[in-house]
Amino acid sequence: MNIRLTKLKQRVAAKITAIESEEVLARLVELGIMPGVFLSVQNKAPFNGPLAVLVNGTKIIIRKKDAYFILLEA
Amino acid sequence: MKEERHQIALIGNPNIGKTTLFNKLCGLNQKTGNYPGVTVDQVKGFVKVAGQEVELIDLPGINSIFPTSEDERVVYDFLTNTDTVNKPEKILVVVSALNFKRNLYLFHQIKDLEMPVVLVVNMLDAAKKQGIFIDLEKLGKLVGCPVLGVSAKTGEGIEDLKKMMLEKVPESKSEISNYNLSLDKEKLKAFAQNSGLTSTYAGFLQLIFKEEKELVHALSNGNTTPHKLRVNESILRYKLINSYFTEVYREDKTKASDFSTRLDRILMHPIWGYAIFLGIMFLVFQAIFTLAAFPMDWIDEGTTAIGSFLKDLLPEGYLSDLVTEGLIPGIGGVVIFIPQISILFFFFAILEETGYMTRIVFLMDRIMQRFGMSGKSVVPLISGMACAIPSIMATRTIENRKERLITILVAPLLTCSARIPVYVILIALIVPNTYIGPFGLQGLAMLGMYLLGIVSALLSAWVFKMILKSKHKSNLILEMPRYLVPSMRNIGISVWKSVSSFVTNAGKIIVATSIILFVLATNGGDKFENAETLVAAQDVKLVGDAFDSELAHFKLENSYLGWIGKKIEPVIKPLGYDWKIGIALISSLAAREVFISTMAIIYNIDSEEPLTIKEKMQREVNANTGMATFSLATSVSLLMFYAFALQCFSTVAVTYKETKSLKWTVVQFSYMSVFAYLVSLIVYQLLA
Ligand SMILES: Nc1nc2c(ncn2[C@@H]2O[C@H](COP(=O)(O)OP(=O)(O)O)[C@@H](O)[C@H]2O)c(=O)[nH]1
Repeated sequence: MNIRLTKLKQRVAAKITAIESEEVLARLVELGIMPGVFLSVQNKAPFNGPLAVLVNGTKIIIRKKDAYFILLEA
Repeated sequence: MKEERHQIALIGNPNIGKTTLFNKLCGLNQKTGNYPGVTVDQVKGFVKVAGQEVELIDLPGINSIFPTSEDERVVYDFLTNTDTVNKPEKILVVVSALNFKRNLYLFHQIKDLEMPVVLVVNMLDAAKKQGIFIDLEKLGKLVGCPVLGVSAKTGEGIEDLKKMMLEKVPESKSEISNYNLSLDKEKLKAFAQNSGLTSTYAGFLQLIFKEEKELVHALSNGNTTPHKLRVNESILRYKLINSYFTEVYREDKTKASDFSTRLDRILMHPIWGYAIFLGIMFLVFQAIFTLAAFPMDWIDEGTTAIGSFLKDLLPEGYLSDLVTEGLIPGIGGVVIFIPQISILFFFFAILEETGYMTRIVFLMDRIMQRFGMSGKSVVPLISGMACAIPSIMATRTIENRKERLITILVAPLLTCSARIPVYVILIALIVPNTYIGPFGLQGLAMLGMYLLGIVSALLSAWVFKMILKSKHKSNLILEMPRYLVPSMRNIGISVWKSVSSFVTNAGKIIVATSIILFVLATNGGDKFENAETLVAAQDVKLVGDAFDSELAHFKLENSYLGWIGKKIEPVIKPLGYDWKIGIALISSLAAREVFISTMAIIYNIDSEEPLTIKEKMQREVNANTGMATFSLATSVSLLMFYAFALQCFSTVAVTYKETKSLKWTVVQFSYMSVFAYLVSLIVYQLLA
């Protein structure tokens, strides 16, 4: 079962299965965010603000609308 | 014989300690671009190694050679530039041990460009503390480049790095040909060569960057697109890094204190995060006012004292007057800024150094989007409270064009430090120096002006958001650095650089306008020349001091400067200003702070006693109304005018430079001027 990154609970690690937007994919892949990699949500900004996710030991800010395209193995 | 010149470029991701390393190597021996603030333009520094001079070029921090914003573009252009004049002899790719895998990505990209590359692993001291170990020797063998470990903070490994600068480094080997990219490798190579590029990878980048869809189609027998190539390249590159990563990198997880994670739970908290952010901002501005007040008073009194001292010393005459009444007050007007600007830049440097600025981006992104901007706009906007020039330059990190344009357009509305002296003096004239509890009334008024700046900037941004159309989608994907203890040396150098370039830039304008004003104020037509006879004829009863004072006033009124002031008086009269204020408005078109020095010059010429500027302004009487010139209504109206009008040539110039558009430069200047005039008009008419 796949879930979207926006639905992932805080501080739970999950494996990326797919990134559905080509545009977002190109940017994320450069940061090492790609299918097969584990990530977790560390912080959430209020009022649908961005997420801070932890990947490969680095924290990265992603807007919610971009996070929506990231699918995870639940 | 031509002197041998070593030119070396520093490249790396943001926040890996590149600036610290650069400062460590060059000290103050560096040449910045033009303006204070963030390192966006090319910064050059010089190091002496074994008697030879090495020129270091500090390029902006980038995440990938593939440019997504203006400052990343600078690096791409620099590296793939085919003209050989600017080719550096060597490239030092600086990576942080704390963020090793991500940083190796950029290193491999640069390495593919087939240049003499040296890998410098920084932050070794911090890595040790966090239980990270990197096998540098093995890494060197695996990647086939010289690898050095340093700590820019403790100085570890710096001597070896300096030695390396003079050594011959072979060109790096590209790995791109090993990648299965579904491109015909020979054809790609030929394309790169025919395009005059230095490496196959440069050719590859150009295919993607220029979106050569047809070419890619041809080179891959219809198998792929530029976009797919870009994604595939990244994936393959990470595969390559992963293939050796565990051999060279070990992390003791139990030791990793994860201090950053815990701190972030508070600083990025949905409620506490904002409370702390506001608290920090409040403290910063509070500190500016309380700490800077003393040196500012000394400077103000000092310039008055130096003026009267020189007046006694110099032989009486035009030159003496030019110095004591034109130049000294003019320079005083610049020097008086130094305390506040230093304090402001000091705090900004700390926020930047510790890594807190990125947390602000995270907290503010959603709110800023409502106003058509990005979380990344917050940093430029906050620095706009120091000076609009570095602020506008700092917008280069914003990828989306519309968001960037809006940030540029509204940045000058924030209360920059040039407005501070104007506000301080006007507020001192109309707000009593009393306290309500712990809060000084004057301080509250000042806070009010800051809030006005912020609110008007947000409102204007919202209006622009509604008007402007955007073709591009807006993105925010940003890496957060771990928290670090700031280096005082870095902060010192950053403050010194900002302040000195501010003083020289503002100084030139102020000194020039001071001299022009003085010359205009002390020359005039027939009436000016025959002032003594005319004044004597006007009122025979006037003698002594009263005569002198009347004479001085008459002369000013009939000087060229007075003539200009009188000409514009009809336009500004509805705002509550007389011709003398008119002169100040015109002369401070170039820079707001000139207002004070103009007042000083006008009233110095107008009166004989050495008084501080504030005292002189308090005594002024408006010839039109017969009441104090700086009444409540006029002063508030002036405050509004200075809050909204774009009186700063340097800002206009930098907007033009950054937008490369005459249209937007004109739009910015006009909307602010019209707004300033209207608000001042309404305020004056309501209060008068
Ligand atoms: N512990 C440690 N901190 C460092 C070192 N080098 C830089 N820093 C800190 O890292 C932060 C970012 O450094 P800076 O030079 O501004 O990074 P830049 O963005 O790459 O120019 C600052 O707080 C520095 O004080 C180092 O070797 N060791």
